[in-house]
Amino acid sequence: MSRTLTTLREDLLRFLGGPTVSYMKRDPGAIVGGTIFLVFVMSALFAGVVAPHDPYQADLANSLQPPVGFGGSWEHPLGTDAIGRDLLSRLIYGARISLSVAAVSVTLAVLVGVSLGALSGYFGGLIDEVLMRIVDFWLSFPAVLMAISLMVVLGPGYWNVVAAMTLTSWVPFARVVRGEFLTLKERPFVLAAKAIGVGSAHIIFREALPNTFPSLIVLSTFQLARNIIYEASLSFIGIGVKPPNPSWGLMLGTGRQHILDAWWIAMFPGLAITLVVLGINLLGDSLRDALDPTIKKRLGVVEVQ
Amino acid sequence: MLDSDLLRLIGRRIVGLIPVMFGIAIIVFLVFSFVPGDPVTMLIGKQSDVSEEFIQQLRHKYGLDRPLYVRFFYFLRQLIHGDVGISYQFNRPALEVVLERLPATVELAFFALAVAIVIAIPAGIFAALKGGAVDRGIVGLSVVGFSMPNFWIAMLLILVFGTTLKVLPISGRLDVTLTVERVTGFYILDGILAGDWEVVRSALSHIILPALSLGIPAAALIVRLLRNNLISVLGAEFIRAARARGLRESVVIYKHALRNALIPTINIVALQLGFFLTGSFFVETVFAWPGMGRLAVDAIYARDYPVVIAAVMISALFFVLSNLLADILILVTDPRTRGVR
Amino acid sequence: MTALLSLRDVAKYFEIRRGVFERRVVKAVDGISFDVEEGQTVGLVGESGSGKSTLALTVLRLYEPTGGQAIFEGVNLFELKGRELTRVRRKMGIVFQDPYLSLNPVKRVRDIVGLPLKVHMPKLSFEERESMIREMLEQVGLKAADVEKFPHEFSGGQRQRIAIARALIVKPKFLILDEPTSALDLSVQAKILNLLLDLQREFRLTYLFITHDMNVIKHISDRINVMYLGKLVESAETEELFERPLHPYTRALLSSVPTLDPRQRGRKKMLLRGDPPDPANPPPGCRFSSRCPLADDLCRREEPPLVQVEPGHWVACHKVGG
Repeated sequence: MSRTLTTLREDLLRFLGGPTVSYMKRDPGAIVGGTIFLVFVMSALFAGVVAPHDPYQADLANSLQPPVGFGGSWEHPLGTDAIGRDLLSRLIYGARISLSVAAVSVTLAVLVGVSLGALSGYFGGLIDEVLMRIVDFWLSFPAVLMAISLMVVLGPGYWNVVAAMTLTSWVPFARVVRGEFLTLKERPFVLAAKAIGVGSAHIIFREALPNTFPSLIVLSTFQLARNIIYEASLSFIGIGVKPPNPSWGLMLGTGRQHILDAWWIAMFPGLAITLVVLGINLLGDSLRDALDPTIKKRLGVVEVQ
Repeated sequence: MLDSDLLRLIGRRIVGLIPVMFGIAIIVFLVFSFVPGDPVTMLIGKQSDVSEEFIQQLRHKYGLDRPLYVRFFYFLRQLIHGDVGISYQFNRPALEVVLERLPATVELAFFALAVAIVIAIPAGIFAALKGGAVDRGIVGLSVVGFSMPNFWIAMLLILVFGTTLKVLPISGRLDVTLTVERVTGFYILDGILAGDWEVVRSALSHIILPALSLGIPAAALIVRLLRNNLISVLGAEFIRAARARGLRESVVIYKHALRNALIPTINIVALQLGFFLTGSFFVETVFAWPGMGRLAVDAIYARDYPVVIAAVMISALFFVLSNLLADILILVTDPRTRGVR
Repeated sequence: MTALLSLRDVAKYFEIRRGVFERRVVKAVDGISFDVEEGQTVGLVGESGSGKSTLALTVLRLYEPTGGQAIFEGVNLFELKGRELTRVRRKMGIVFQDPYLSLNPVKRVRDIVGLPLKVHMPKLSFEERESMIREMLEQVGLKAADVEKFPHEFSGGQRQRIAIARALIVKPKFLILDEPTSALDLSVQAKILNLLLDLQREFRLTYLFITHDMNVIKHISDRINVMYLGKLVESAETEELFERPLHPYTRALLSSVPTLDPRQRGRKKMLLRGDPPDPANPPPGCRFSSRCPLADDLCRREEPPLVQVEPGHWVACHKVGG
């Protein structure tokens, strides 16, 4: 099993290396997106070092301080909230919540979606019938609504948000992997492996799965962006991450009450969400363009003009 | 365009909705059966002088002492009669409360759609035809557009047009001094029906910002799609043929290219209607728009679950219907799909 | 001579479902019997859709057979399971038509060619395996250093050499070649054919060679079987078949081949009319009757049996012999 994981990792890195990187280096969208994304990831990882203040420390004497340039001081560059907490520090710690909820839920969704999609596409039969009914149903039910319903039941909280995000985002992965497996299992290279005498596990993990990586990478980036917005949306209406956690959505929710007297409380978290989502979307667009010709070339498909 | 084949297809799609709606009902029921704290506890709230006996009576009255499958059966039977329970906040049937707020949300959704179309179609055509920097600029803006959460757009708009420029109202559907006789529930329509132009003007000025908040991300999506379709259509054989026939460029673009590029776009546009219903949960909250979305969010805080159930079911129904509308539009507009399926 | 592989009434039916209620059975391979003698090359010809590839995949158990037997070295392949089947697979191999589709695009040549070694000789050390892979690559005309490369770095002909190396690395006895040259450029075709002939001599291989190209089959095979819509219509030694084709379908196939042979110049050309019928809905009686210039009521009513008209020359036609 660990050998399978090692080769899978190699296959994955192969798609992310060489030609993909050299394509993206020439794409301004990828450079801008990548830089933004990297800044956010870094501040999330090193929040303790980067943040000037304790994000939870209330300081009523300094509440509702405006940002620098609007009458505020460098002590609180982006100002403070209603109980005097430093907004910049809260934003930096907020990146942890936003990015980790999205990253963990997408990872779990990939695991669930890919396993179900692969089994269903490869073996067909009853599993496939059941999965397709679930997928049909999922697609007819708006994901946000599903997430809201789940959160109402589960109650607010970090891991509950992760659970709700996972449950609402595994379906696209299952669908894509199933679709690709349906064609992959008829490919001569899979028949060739069967003729050699390998088992189903080898065919699923070693032969077919690596061929779905380009689609999975691209889909993951877009789901990551989507889940950041969803987490913020849920927290915004008070059924996401619990206060006093510095979730961007939660900050926006409290900022809404101060929109008339302290605009900065709502403005900066929204800007943070927009920037990081924009960065990921730009990366995703570029990855899609970069991986598309690669996979076509590798499959030997010649594009006819 | 409506022939019997098409009608049959549409009929089949509608019949196909029945299991989907049934599935939604099952999920909604299961989800809300596991909500912590049953409605009776909610109903009684903090009153401490209620006897245990009375509580049991209430539990019996709402059928909460029955096994799950019995309750599901009751739930379904009630659902068929359009009854999802009594709202604890309003002490009226929950569905009635939700339906009362529905016109506000639907009105908003249609205006958002109008906003999206008005922005997206010219921008998409412009980007595809001009190319170069204009194209890159519009495409770039569209990526920014769908990276913004709609409730944040809402707050930006409030800041700019509401508090800074003070040109547009930022809350509610109508000036508090005005009233209009409720006929359709769509205030703009009701105003016109009553001949009260003051109401129409006020309602229009109130709907602009919420409609923009919902419409901008949708517009961003449609722009990209339309632009990509238009560019690929402009490179197609039949366009080259039309040009070779010596047709004027404007005729080629508007009559031939645009029509073919719009067909696949219509589907996505129709789908947006469904997404606006769920987007309204967030945007209505910001603008204090008295629609279904805000009602649902308030009901979540108040743990008024029958209202939440009703709102979720209605949104899901609208989502499903907008899917259906999208499918039908494709069938009607695209001759290639005829007879294939 | 003994038969290495004997097919007896091999059948493969596919069920096609249209909607919920409508089911149709496609008899892609319908009762095929012939022998493959050890050391020989047996050709299998027919138009596309005749079921030749399906037969190959069924014999190799890549499709589950509907019926019949495939006796390989005295063992019925259709009755083998699990480990026994895997063990027999070591003695058989297949090379597919399109080398752009038969090599996994994400794998290095090392992993592609080395896969049979990992399955059938798992005890080899990395070094032993590596040297066997490199040696094999050189034997098919590639470079040992190519182990590091990916399929997309090779031309079509080179890819087919990789596929051949993969099929031969565990030294099988029997190889099914499923149109191994028809996806290649004409200049490359001859090279691959010659490579296959050289390897056959060197490794004492038995080939089942599938093609629709009568020129190729004449060049390479000892015996030829002609398939039409899942049925065997004629079977003879190569020379006999080209000298005296008896079935109207075989004659049509041969007359589509440009010939320089003066003895055949005078023969009346016979051309196929129309496309082959839908395999899900073949004509009653003789399956060729809908396109046969000689067909009469009997042909359209009764299916002709495969009969031996000369020693070693079998044909299924009401209009021949009898």
